[in-house]
Amino acid sequence: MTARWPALVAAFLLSAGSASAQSPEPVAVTVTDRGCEPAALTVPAGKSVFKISNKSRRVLEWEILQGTMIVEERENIIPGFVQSLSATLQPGSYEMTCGLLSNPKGTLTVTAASAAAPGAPDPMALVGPLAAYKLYVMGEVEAFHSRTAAFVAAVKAGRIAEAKTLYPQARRHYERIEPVASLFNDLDKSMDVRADDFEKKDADPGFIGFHRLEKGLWADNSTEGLSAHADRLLADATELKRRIADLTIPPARMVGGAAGLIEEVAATKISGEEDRYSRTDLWDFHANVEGSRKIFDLLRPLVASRDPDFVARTEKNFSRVETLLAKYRTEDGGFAPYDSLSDRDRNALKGPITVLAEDLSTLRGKLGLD
Amino acid sequence: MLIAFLIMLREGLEAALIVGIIAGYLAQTGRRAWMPAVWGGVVLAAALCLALGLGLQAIGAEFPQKQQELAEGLIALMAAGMLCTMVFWMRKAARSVRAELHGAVDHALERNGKAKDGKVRGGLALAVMAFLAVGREGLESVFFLLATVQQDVGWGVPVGALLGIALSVGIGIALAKGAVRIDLRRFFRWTGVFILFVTAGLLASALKAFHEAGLWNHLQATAFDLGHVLPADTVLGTLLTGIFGYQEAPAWGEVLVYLGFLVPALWAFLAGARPAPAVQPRHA
Repeated sequence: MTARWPALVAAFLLSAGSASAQSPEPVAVTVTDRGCEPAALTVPAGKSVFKISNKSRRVLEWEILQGTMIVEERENIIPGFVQSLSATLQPGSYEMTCGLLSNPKGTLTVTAASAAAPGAPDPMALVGPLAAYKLYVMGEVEAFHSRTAAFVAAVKAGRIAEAKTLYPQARRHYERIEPVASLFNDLDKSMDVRADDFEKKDADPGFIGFHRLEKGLWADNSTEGLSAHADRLLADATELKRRIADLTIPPARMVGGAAGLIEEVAATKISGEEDRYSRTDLWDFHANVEGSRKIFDLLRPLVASRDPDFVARTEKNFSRVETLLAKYRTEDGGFAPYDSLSDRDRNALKGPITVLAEDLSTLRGKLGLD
Repeated sequence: MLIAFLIMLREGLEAALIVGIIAGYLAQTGRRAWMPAVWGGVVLAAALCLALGLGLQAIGAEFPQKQQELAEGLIALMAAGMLCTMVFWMRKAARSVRAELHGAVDHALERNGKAKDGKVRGGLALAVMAFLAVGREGLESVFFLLATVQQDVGWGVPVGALLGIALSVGIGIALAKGAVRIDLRRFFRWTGVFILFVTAGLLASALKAFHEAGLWNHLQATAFDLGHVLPADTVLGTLLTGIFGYQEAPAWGEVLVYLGFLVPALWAFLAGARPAPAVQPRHA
């Protein structure tokens, strides 16, 4: 039995460490001779600290109950005393004891949202946008697959000019749904890997996928030796389509994707590293913005009632970025080659894109998904 | 002040009773030599509780009640087991004592312990029990005291709390001394009955502790509520709680455990003996 003591000490110190790590705003409860004030409390899930003031004439034992189960309690609170009790609570309905047994019990509601999102929507509210997003993703992956098939056929037939036209058109559908497509890391790697990721750069035998074909078409101006890579690419696209059909899109992935798409543009693509042979970077940018915009549009009704300023601001930022990109549109519906942009042009893009990415990154928190 | 006094009296009383009984028992059976071990257990437990309390306080941590309840429940069960064994050994010894003399008791003790190292183990067990009895109530007391000192509620509250501890220690000492004065047979009989009440209270409180630790959730409907008649934070309520395990509003499970142990144990203890001493079956 004495061996329990070291274990007990360790347990105390461990929980002590976590207790001092972060302290949420305390929730005050006053217990009088007649009950709790307030008699109903709502706190977010996770760690809460309750400050219990005993304004009754009796010694108190304040408990958080679930049915007859005691979830947390603080004993021996004497009249006039304030004692604190910290509890890590799961979402749900609880009761709290309020002094005398004959007093009515108080209710304690623990909501699923984080403290940063008071009144965050319930998870069911995301069901609609998620379903609509799934439809969008399905349509895009279908288009991606058929465009990739056409592109691959052109490569294998040695029709270089046609393949060059089809390259950005096929990629565009992939870039729009990248938050979902990149859930499948193996396929993302084999289709979209860049030469920089290999030891021998673009001469590495492991270098495959879109950018390998891009290198062949533009740098080598030849389709020689590309046939096997083309087959692999189409097989991967087919597999992606199959996997997405069975996929339940994680809500956090969809909501986070709005920012993720733009962040990637801001962080790496703006330098022009992605489509270094074809210089079709702006096609990818634009597709990323479109994909992000789609998510934002689907979530707008959920966010608008809570934070209209945010919606208005983000709306404006999207337009700015879209207007900037529109400057580089060509008559055939495509985009100017990225190397035709001056450094000043690129920097002009960078500012609004960064702002947009920053704003969108708060979306998850606003919807209680952090 | 009064309430702080009563809380600490209640926390201290049970520990004091157990330690007092052990001390009385050692004195009665001529084994005072073991007393330092018992005191060692008491001091060690008190020091450990105090150090833990101050340590946790210093790093700004809260008292994890669930672990404490679990430990309290386990200790209560152990203590109940040891007390029970002691009582029924006493009953056996009391019979032989009727014939005579302390020598017979010593003989009985040794026979019971089987050998010398058995005797040693018996003594150590008592020291461990003193340690546990104090440790069980000590942690909560330390935290109550710390909160008392920190909150600006005047000097009355901490003073009351300390007086409560002092009185419980006094009761323990008085019990041990008083036990020395009565003859061995009566000592065994009276303390035996008394210990059975304490044990029943311990078992009921173990059940309550397991409930509060989240391990046991059955039979939790309130059996009766004497909160308005005899609140546990009055003087009488406090004494009854410390001594007999009184609860103002026990759950059915606690009542069943209390009576389920006490009734057959009292019957077994008193059966076959001479007319029972006047014991009011004042159960909670």
